[in-house]
Amino acid sequence: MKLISKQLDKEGAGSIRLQPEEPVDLWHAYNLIQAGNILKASTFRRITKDKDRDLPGGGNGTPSTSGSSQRVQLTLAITVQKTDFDPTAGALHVSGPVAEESPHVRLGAYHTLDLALHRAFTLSKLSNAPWDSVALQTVASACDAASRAEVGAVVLQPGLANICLVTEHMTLLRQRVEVAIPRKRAADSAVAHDKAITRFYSAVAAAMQRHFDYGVLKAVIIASPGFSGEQLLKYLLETAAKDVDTGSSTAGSNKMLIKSKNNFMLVHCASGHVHALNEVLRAPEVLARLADTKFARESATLEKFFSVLSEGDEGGGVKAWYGPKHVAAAVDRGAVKTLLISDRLFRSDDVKTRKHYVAMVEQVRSQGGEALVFSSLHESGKQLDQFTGIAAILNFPIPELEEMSDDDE
Amino acid sequence: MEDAVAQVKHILRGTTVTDAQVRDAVWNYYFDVDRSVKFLRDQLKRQESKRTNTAKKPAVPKAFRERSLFADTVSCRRGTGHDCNEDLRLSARLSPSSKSQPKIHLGSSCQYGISVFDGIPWGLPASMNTDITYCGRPTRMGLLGGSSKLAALAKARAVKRQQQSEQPQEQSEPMEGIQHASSSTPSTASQSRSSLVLDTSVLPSPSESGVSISKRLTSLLAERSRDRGRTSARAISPEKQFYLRRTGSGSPSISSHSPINSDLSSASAVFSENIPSSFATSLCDFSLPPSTFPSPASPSSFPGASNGDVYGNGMSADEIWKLITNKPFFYLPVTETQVEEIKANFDRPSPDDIIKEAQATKGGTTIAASSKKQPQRAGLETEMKSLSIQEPAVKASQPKQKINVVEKFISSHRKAHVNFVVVGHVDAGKSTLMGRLLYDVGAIDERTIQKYKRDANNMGKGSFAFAWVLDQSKEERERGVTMDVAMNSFESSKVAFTILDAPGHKDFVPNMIAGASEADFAVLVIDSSPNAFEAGFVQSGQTKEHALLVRSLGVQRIIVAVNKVDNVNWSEFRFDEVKEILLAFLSAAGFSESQTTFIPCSGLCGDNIVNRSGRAELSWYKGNTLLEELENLTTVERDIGAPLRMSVTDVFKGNASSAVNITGRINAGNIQVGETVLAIPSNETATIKSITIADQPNDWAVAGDNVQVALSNIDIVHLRAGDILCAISSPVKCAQTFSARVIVFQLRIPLIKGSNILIYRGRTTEAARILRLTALLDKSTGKVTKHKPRHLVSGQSAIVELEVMGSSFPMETFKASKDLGRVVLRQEGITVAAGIVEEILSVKNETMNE
Repeated sequence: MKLISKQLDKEGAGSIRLQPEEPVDLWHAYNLIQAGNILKASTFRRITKDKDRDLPGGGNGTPSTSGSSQRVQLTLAITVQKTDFDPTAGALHVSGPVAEESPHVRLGAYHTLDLALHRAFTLSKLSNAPWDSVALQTVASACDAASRAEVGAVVLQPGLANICLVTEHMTLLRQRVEVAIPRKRAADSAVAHDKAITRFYSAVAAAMQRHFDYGVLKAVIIASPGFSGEQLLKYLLETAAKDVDTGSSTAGSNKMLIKSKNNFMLVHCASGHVHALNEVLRAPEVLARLADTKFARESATLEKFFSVLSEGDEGGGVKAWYGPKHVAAAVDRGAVKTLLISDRLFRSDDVKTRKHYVAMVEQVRSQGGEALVFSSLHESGKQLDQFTGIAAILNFPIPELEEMSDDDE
Repeated sequence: MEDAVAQVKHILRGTTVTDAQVRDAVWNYYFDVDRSVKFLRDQLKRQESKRTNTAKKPAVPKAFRERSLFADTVSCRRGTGHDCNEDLRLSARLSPSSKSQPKIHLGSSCQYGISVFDGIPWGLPASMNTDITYCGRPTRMGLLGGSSKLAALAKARAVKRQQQSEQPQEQSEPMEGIQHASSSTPSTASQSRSSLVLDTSVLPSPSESGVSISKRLTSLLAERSRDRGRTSARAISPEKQFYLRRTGSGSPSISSHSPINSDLSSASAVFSENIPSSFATSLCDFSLPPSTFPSPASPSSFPGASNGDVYGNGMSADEIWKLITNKPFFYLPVTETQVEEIKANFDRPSPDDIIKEAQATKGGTTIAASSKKQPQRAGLETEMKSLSIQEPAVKASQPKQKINVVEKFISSHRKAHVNFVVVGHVDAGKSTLMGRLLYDVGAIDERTIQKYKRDANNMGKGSFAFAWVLDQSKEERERGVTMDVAMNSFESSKVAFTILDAPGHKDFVPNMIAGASEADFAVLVIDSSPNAFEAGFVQSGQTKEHALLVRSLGVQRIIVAVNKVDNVNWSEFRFDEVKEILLAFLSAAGFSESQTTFIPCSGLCGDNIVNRSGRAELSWYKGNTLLEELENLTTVERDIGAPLRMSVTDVFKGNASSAVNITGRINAGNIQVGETVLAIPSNETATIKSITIADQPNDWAVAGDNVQVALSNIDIVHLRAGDILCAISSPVKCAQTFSARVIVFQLRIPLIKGSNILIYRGRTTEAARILRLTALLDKSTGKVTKHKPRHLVSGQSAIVELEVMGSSFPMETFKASKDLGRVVLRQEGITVAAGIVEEILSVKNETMNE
């Protein structure tokens, strides 16, 4: 993300102009844009010149049949009502009524802005929902080019592989490979089995070729239970070497593969399903290499939370809690050591809700605690979302929490 | 918009259109009120017709009149239809009371069908589903009930003869079964009824309230009718075992009696139960309001079965039971020796069977018997449109192959089939032990073993030669680790065995689960070498995990092979030490001490496996060898007459033919060549081309068998390991959300709402998450101790709701199927819990609507 201009008053109201540079920037934009904000961006609109009306038509849903229509590029400002983000396609649509006078569109007509890469947009927040610390932090981290890290990850088990791209803020499932593998039988001494296994590896290798740019990736993680990962790596390197020798069409990318051989990491995990990725990202060998990345930190923190939770009463009381009510009470008592909060909670359309959580984050930080905003596109964030999206590890147990009812779920 | 909606609603008042529907319609027709009203009316009509269709579906096999209707329709096409009509007439003539009964019966079933479907939008609640599920039953019942005229006459004759020959002997239970055919005279029927009424007084023990009685009747009836399925023709011996079993485990009123004893009171208690249950058949018909009957909350173990049978096969069930109970006090206390005698009697084919067989060879009668099945099938199929063309063709081409598998099974004296899984920590010597076993019984020839020895030596793994018998794949041999379950079979003089050699490595526990779910018994192999046992027995070791898993997968009998005693100098002390620790653990895990046997053995040397050890060092051991102990296992009684359920463990292309081959285990019911089955979740039909049991071709197979089946008329893409093959008439459902009663194992992190887990059952795996923690349970009593707990920790027992995230997970409740109702929950490579399915809350794809 490129920060082009920033005009904020001391309450935090004002506008920031940003230009998305990478797909992940749209994800940041999605987290920044809230209902009620004013978003200004360049867009296209079909304008119908209607004879019967003075004003240019459009906006009421049924374009009239008469008159001529043309596509016009224009800059529109809308009051955001709805945002829609598709992480796999990397598309962000924002819709709402037009908020600023324009020669082509009348005020209040609805429009959908499609934010695109390399096209700047201006986001204004009013004083009732100003740029708060969390939002500003998002802008800062989005614009920090140094923290960019992209990792390719393959989790597999015999017959099933998931090929993912993991960036700082997103986990994108690129492809799922499924190959039916016959079981071994005494009758045909496992020939069919071995054949199917080879077919499976070649399918995985082809998918990796399609989705991974070995020149860019910081690391490629291959994770599996048993020996599948080891075998896949062996297969990859063998076929790549063969390919380079024969000089086939894929030789170029295979050269890259051999070059980045040292970027490959073999990790053990329990299954080939996507959510095993969470387990993979907190494996010690991954942490050692990618400790500075957000996703590894998130996975490790979540793991910490669970281990504290499983300690249970041993330290004189439970020191891990989840659920908005319990965590809020813990924050009030200044007991929170680490706050785990999903960015989903900040996306709430209700300004009050967002303010509540922002205040919570700020309070924890001012108390000297750590507040970690999880990306809900990562497996760890998804898991956090499953149990209310907010959790806390405490410095000391609070017995009163035990008595609280949990009707907020 | 609102105006239009209001208008439309006004016009359509009194119908069941929902607000949302109206809104949709109005929106779609651009607020045109007239058109949306028309659209909604059409929709309603469609719904209505759909509904009546389904209402008919459960009613079809049940309602008397409709049955004959089907017979009529089919008789136009086939010449066999008149046989059915004759059946009906015959049964109508049987007794005056039965004449009136079907009428009432019909009424009640219709009423039932309608009342249940009333006011229910399209989407089937559980109670109805079970109802449909069982529409296949009556077919079977009719067939077995000897409802063909010829068969009935033949039976009567046979029975008379047998009666004459057996009369002098003590009046044992078989006689009771025999009586029923000879009593097909109007005069005795009413008599039997009065005696039944008398007998009900025996049943209700003072402690039981009216409600519980009726519930119990239902449950009794349900179980009874299940059993009846396979026994009514003549197979009394399983039923007899059933009675005897009941004395031990059955209703509270008689639980104090020990199983199989000569106690007169116990026997009469058995009998008193027996009678009212049949009485319940009529009782339920007359007195229970239809709406109360199928109460899903009733504790009866097979609510579906009860519905299906009571209403479904009204005629045959009632008839048979009236007849059977004709001479109620014929059943006298049976002593232990007599039990043996009776058992022996029924190991021989009965005169019934002989006659039937004779008739079968002559042709004619068997066809007559099965003709009843076909018209009904056809009737069903016209409703299930997709099948109507295919199936009759199949049937027509192989009419003579229609086998009554249940009878065939009973008369076949097949060797007892024992499936056992071999489990234990990695490198405990499971594969080697089994390789040795196979070698010693002669299932592997000397040459092969020599070759393995040579090759293994070349690889520097000389001690792995025996393991190579089971570890066939290249990788397994190179690494010296079993990775997938290997299935082998062999026969001793008494029993046919199927070995499932499970991998011990922790990464392959899923494969072990697959293996264990195909087995009835387990052999737990322990490495007794110094430290090795301890390494396997720590928390993360697989000895404990495997033992817990096989237990929660339903295995009750376990043989512990304390292996590698050669490494500890055949020490008795070490054996006792291991035994003591394990015994404590196993009994905590739920294995009773009498169901646990310990054998010191050595897979490498071959001591105490097939041949008793001749070593002086091992002379302290006086018990059985492993093989002897395996032969002593008694096969588990299975419901071979129930609708088919077969879990597929493997799918592969045949070598020569175009057929798709599958292997799997039949959980319930039976299959035969030529039969058409349904694969779930793909919902595709396939025809069984051939069946192989333990490498031997066979025409049929029954529940409990591990079989290889060649299927035709299906593409391989529609089948996956983990699928369920089932009877067309009663498909299995794919659950989206379900509640389960689980026992939590050793956890690394607590289970909370939203936890991601994997659910396993046999070969099926799906990602799932915990939707809700419903309640904590007391471990011993099963009572709810806390509602909505915040998290579950190790050792707790709880009810949880789970949501399946992946595609489809075919499943049944534990009540409906012991095999398909079990799940294992794992998280990050650790088994976190095992449980049984309590209730299926929502179904993934409504395939049944078609």
